[in-house]
Amino acid sequence: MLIYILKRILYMAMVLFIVVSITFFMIHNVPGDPLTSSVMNLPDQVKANYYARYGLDKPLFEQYLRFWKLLFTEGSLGESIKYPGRLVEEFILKYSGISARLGLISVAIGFSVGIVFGIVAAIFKNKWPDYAVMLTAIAGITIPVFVLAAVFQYFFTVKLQWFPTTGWGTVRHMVLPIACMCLSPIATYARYMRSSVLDVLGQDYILTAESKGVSSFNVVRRHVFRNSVLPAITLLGPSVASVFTGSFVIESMFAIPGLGTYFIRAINERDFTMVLGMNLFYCLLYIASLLLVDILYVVIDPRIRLAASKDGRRKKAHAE
Amino acid sequence: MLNNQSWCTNTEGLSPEQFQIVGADKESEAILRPHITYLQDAWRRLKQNKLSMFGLILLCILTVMVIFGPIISPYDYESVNPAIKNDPPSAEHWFGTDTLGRDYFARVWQGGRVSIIIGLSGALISAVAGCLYGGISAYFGGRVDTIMMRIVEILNSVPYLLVVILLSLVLDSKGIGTLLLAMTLTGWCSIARLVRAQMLQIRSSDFVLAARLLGVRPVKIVIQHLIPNTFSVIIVAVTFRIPSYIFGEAFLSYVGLGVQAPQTSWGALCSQAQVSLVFHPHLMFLPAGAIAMTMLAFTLLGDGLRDALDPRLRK
Amino acid sequence: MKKLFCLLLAMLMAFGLLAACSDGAEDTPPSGPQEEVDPTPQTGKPPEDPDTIEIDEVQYFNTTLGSEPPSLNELLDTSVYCNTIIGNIVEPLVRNEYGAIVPAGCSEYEVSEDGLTYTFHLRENYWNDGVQVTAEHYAYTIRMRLLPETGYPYAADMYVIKNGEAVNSGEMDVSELGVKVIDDLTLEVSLEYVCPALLSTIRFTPLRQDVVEKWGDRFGTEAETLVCCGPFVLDEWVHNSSLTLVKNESYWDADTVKLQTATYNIVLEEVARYNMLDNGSLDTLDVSEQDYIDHFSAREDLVSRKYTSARHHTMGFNLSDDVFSNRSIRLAISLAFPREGTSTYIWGDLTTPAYGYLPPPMFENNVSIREASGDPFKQMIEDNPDPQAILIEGLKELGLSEDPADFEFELYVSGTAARSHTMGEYWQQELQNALGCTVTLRYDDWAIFYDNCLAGDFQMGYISWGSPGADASYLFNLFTTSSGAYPAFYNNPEYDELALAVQQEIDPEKRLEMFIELDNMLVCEDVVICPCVYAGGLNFSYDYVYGVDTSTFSSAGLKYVYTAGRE
Repeated sequence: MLIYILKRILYMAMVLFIVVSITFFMIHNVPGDPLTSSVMNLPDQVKANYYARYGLDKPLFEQYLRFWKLLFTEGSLGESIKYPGRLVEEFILKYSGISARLGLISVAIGFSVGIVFGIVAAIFKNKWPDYAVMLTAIAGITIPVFVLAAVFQYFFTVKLQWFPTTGWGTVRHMVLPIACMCLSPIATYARYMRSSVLDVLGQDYILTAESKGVSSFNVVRRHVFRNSVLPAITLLGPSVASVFTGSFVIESMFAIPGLGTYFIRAINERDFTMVLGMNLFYCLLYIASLLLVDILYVVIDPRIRLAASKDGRRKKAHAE
Repeated sequence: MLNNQSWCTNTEGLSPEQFQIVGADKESEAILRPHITYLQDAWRRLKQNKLSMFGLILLCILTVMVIFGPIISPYDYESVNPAIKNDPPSAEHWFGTDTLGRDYFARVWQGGRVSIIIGLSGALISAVAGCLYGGISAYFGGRVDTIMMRIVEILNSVPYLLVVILLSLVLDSKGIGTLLLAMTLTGWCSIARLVRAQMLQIRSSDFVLAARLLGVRPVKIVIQHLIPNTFSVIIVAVTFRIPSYIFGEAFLSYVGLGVQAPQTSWGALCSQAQVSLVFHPHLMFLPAGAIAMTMLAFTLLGDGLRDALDPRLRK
Repeated sequence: MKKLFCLLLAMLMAFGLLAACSDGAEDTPPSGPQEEVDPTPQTGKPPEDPDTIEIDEVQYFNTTLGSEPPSLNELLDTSVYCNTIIGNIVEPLVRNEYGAIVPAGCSEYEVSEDGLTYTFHLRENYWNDGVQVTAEHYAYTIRMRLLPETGYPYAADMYVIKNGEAVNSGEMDVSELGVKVIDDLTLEVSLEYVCPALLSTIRFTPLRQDVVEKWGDRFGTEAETLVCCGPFVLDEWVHNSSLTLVKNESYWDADTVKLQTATYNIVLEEVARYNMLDNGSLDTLDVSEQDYIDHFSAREDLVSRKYTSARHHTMGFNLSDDVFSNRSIRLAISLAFPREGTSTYIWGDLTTPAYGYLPPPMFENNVSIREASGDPFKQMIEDNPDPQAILIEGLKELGLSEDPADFEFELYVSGTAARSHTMGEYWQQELQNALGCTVTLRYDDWAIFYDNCLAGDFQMGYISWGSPGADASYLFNLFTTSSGAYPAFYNNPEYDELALAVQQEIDPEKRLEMFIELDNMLVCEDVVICPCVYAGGLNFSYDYVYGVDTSTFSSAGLKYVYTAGRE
């Protein structure tokens, strides 16, 4: 297993390298550059000065090499073009925390509530709890988050005035954004969980456990949960990774100083260094979360084997 | 009757005379029930499920409305009449009018044409691609799995917005094909991961081993034995994909890839209704409701299908 | 009626309402720096005397800023957001207050007889760290803006300073620049050529060399890297969320400043801003959605103010296009364009239908150039009641099928927000109805849109441009062959000559005539553009807000704002 993890970390570096390279050449090939709108009416000399300040006058490949050089020699992702004087890693370190605080809470709520809802719906299949969960899930997935945010904001900050409209700092600022953000995960996890719990409930070992006289609570806790949580875990990994980059809709609606609004705007404004740096950050989190998920598979379900060598041996043993 | 008599070791006191051949009873061996295939059986069980049938009917109604709705409406979906903008639903305009005074009834059903096609085909394409990819990856495991999953990681890590912008520039066509390509480009990845996880779990099951020992080809094992056992997860994934494709289409109009005006779609209607949500909720809730109805229909149908296809529930 | 204040103009631009025909706050407006300068020699109306009203004990003010200022280092960032904040926290030599240029950082200034030398006598003013503001601080800013290494985006505006261009292109040392520190409180600026509008086109702000060098690249990125000498001090800067200003006690005119705290909230989502005004989290806001206008108009504690800004929305024709090189085709479309409808249905009458190029608040010789021109295009519309006939004529000239139904052209709109879509769909319908041809729509985000336009890959594009300053020549220079900033591919030597001549003309009456002639060439004679609407807006403020400078190019910021009767 240890060798497997080490191998995976090596692959991780490779994936990172490929993704960053692809992103680099892609963003430089999209029409428009970060300075177009600022320089359009300037004399050539000034234009050249302006481009030189951001190193954009150099050939593309040189800029590419410079990115890696900067990363390895100084550990820096470079200076944002749109926000002069501010380093990309500074943005990431400062604001991903804010996004993550909101996001992790909503994913945690979404995951736990969703799991419980899913199990309840499966146990009471085709009875009212099942239908209630199903309708909640449909609402949660078809009401776009921007609608939810607008409705919540209108009712709770304008009509009832219970919470501050926008801003960041206190717990009261977090209530509405989290409420908006956790509905969709609740829906997702509830539906996947219901489905896989139903699969497990049909298995013989549940029948065995029940006939042994294990209480139904313990059946669910010991046998059902562990065997059915796999799809939820699969989805949990990437969603934990993406909370660090934040939600554009929620953060612009509630004026939350997280990372969410920066990334899409960086692409729109062709802020090359910002796009690259933030993408590197996201990619790192994403593939790390996938590795974690893969390891969790093995922990949760002993039937799953990942490492190739072991698998090969097993195959050989069977062949004999 | 039992041809294996070894279970009984005590044979003393028995003589051959006590036994006689009575001949085979051909009658009792005959299969009285008509032979039905797996799919036929699934369909039979699906038909018995009232909720699923309700979903199916709902889907039929939606389809009919989407086809005939714009024709039933006395108004054209694209002609503007700003004098009557933002009217609430009335006898004249059944769904009211939008910000330019266009008949909303005609617009909602016209928009449904694109949305249902996109939602459905998008979900199916990504389901098929995801199943095959995830299945192959999990079945072979080892190096194949490693490489295939790294490709998924790369695809999912490159910023989607950038990919779509470049795609729209390269393809230079605004057809529905381009749209579908842009949407399914990475859409299948999460299904692939789900399928892979499920299959890792059942890969070492006895029936797979049995099939392998019998020399069944790997592709056949994946398609015939592994994928049916992951249907429950796939069906949920597909029903969840539908609304996300419907809204995703509206997002793509951001880079000029969405449906082209005067055409419209449910996603586009929703995003146009966003600003005036508090004042004209009907502009939002009618298309959003249509999306929810579609989702409901597919969920009910999916739940029924899940039960019907589950080999363990087959009795 | 040209009452609007710079702040709101600023916010409006930021909201994407005026921004570049475009899709929201994230876009950079394609105009020059949003300097607040006054074209009109209005008589500076003094602010209402606060002593006659009982002002509130706790003085605070909440407003919005359209987007996060990329930086508060004014050498790198010329965005309207940065300028708004800088205007409140540093003291320029002069300010534009209530329609007139008044001394601010200087107590008085002299202009030499030949008009080439300005001498400023500074006030005794202090930075909030206790250092006195000196002439060197103002001179440092001018030098830095022209140093080639700085890459100051609007260096070209500074070429009016003696040797400015030579220094900026690296041909001359910065010591030869026409800026001289006579003593601590006296600054002398020499010009390359006579420029009567100098003080309204360039904002002379001070910068502290020691502070700029201490922080290096980080200068202007956080509140603590800035020193302030204006009416306010930047107290807290929560990036992408809010900027809080507090009163600067060491400011020379601190007695006038009533506000203790002023907060600029950065809220990207339009609906969220409306909700904030609704529940009193904001004291003032520009509103552009018809439903919200009705909603807020019904409230008695809100005061509305409508204004027209120095910005136009136009449809630009690509004169290098095979079809659109034909004047009759362009004229037909321009004649058929639904101006009144666009203004009413799309903008809820917040904009004014445009029958010419220059927006109404542009003045010369004390009269609005727009009004003086008499809008000859209106007469053209009357004379040609059937645009379709002109279209057919144009098709004939081009040797194309004379049936307008066979004619198809593309309308290019930047921005992908709901309003851009609605707008495009409205024009598509109306133009198709009026001309009997087919109109297709294309949307792209601003960066791609502008790139394509500059590359000539469009037929007819929706472009908006605001005037950064008082002088109308800026807006006309966009069309000269050498500039080409407005992607019309217009190439008329006569126009180029006139546009150049008007810059060097001193006689205001002649200038007025020349401006009218230029406007006429663009709209009527050569039909380079199809005027759509003049930008405008509607501001709602609570009735307890007083002292806001609403003049067009005001740079007073929040200095005179106070509240009285806030509950």
